[in-house]
Amino acid sequence: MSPTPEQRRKNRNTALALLIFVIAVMAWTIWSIASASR
Amino acid sequence: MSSVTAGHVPPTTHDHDHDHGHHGPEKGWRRWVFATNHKDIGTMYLVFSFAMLLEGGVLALLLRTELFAPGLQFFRPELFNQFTTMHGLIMIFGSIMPAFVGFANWMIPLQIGASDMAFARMNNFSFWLLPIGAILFTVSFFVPGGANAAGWTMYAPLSLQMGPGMDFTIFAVHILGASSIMGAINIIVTVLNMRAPGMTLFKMPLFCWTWLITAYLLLAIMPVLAAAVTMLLTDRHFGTAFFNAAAGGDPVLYQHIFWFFGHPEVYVMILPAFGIISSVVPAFARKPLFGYASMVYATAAIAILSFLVWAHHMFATGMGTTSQLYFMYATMLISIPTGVKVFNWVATMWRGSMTFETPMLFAIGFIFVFTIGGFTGLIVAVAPIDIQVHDTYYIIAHFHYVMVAGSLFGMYSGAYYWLPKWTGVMYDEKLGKLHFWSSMISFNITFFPMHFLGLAGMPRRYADYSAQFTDFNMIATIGAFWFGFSQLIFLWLVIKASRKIGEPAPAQAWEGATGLEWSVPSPAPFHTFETPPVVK
Repeated sequence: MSPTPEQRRKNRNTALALLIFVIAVMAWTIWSIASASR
Repeated sequence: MSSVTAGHVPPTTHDHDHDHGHHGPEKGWRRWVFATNHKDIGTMYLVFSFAMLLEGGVLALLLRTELFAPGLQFFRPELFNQFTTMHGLIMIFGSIMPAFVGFANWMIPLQIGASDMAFARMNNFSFWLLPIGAILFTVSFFVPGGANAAGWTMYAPLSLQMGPGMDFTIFAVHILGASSIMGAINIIVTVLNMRAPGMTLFKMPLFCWTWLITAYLLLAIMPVLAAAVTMLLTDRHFGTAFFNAAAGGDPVLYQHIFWFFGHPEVYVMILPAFGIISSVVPAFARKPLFGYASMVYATAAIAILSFLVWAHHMFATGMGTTSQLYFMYATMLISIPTGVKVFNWVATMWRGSMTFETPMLFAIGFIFVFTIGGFTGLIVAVAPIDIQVHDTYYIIAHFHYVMVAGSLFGMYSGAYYWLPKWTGVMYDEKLGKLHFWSSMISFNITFFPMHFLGLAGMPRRYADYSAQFTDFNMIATIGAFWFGFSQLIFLWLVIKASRKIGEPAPAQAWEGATGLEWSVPSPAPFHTFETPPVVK
């Protein structure tokens, strides 16, 4: 059975939240290293 | 919290064979290239990771061949260092991590009563990134200067001085990291959003719990690694100086950032194995898992602590006494939740009606040998000892007891346990037992002597050594070849099972097995749980 539109929306929103977390961690890493090695 | 655990998920009244009205698998190569079915993708992950295990294993045997006797026999030291580096990278990023994602793909939807993973197309893309990464790793041997020889840790400044082989490694790590992140997002969304009605989090099998926690770990650490290797790349080619001491950067910063990724990475490679063992031991002890909730909390505690101990890999870089003491004691703390797990597995077996089929043999072998690796981990957590044995064969012995006897034996336990569900036939039990005993004995012949070599001061990552280390090196090399060839038994056994040679497996292949995956026929139909089962 294919996921319902409601299920798809919920899945997409959860994945987007996780993706934002991943990008934030990567940005934080580069930012903190750049600050420390200045 | 429910007292009903995953080991007691009651059978549903649901008819699971729902292939009617749905298309089956595509024929030929299209089935695999365009696969979106979680079982097909799981199979591809497992086959790929075993192929990479063999490639990494061949590199290991080349290393052991050179180390059979002192002096340089076969390889230049530069090439030897390429072998050590690529052996580590291929085993970690090409074999162990993808293998557990393969298990997750196959088993998580079946265990939580979902029809598939949340993002089927992304699942396909995650998999097909893997061969690209593997090709980059492999062809890097043939570029000018050869493959990356800076060690799997890619420490600066050595990694800044390597030839183009290093860039291949950086791109491969980016690609494999992206695959891992997509896989982790898929697993988290599937577990959180797609569980069958009544399948509360605390009714999930431990394997789903350990993978959920592992997936969060991956999301927290893979971006850190990606950022670190990106900075290596910009230092190498774009004039930045994050880690280049000659231009004002700090190479030790790289080590901090790498191990902030690297230590939790160890748990990424072991927590799913804990989940497998927590499924297998109750099945063959015919008892529910002892302390289900404490297992979940212990897994979470291990994951959290893994972020707080990274600098125990760096005692030898020089650090203040206060920092040393903090990282030493914080590392020792991890033994508490790990001890809870080992205690619970043993307590599950206590007074159980145990039988010793191959999955259980590998599970008990795992507990026994992984615990040795855990104890040596405690020993090297002690800063003054670590400084003595840093970069010696003691460390090689320690982490192979964790990674081979831990991750690999855990995977074998799971593979034998679920093989009847995957293939529809019972595997050859005699061959399985031969595989276990042959692997167990040869593993210990290979790696136990390395403790002595390390304590005697033999450094790692050298093609040559002093004559005093000869005997133990010869023993280790003999053991390594024995271990390597033992894995072909597994390959032969799986080929037989996949060609349906063997007794047909019933839906519930093991008497003591519980959980939703055993309520569907064997082999699991192409589509399962099209209508979600109701878990009471």
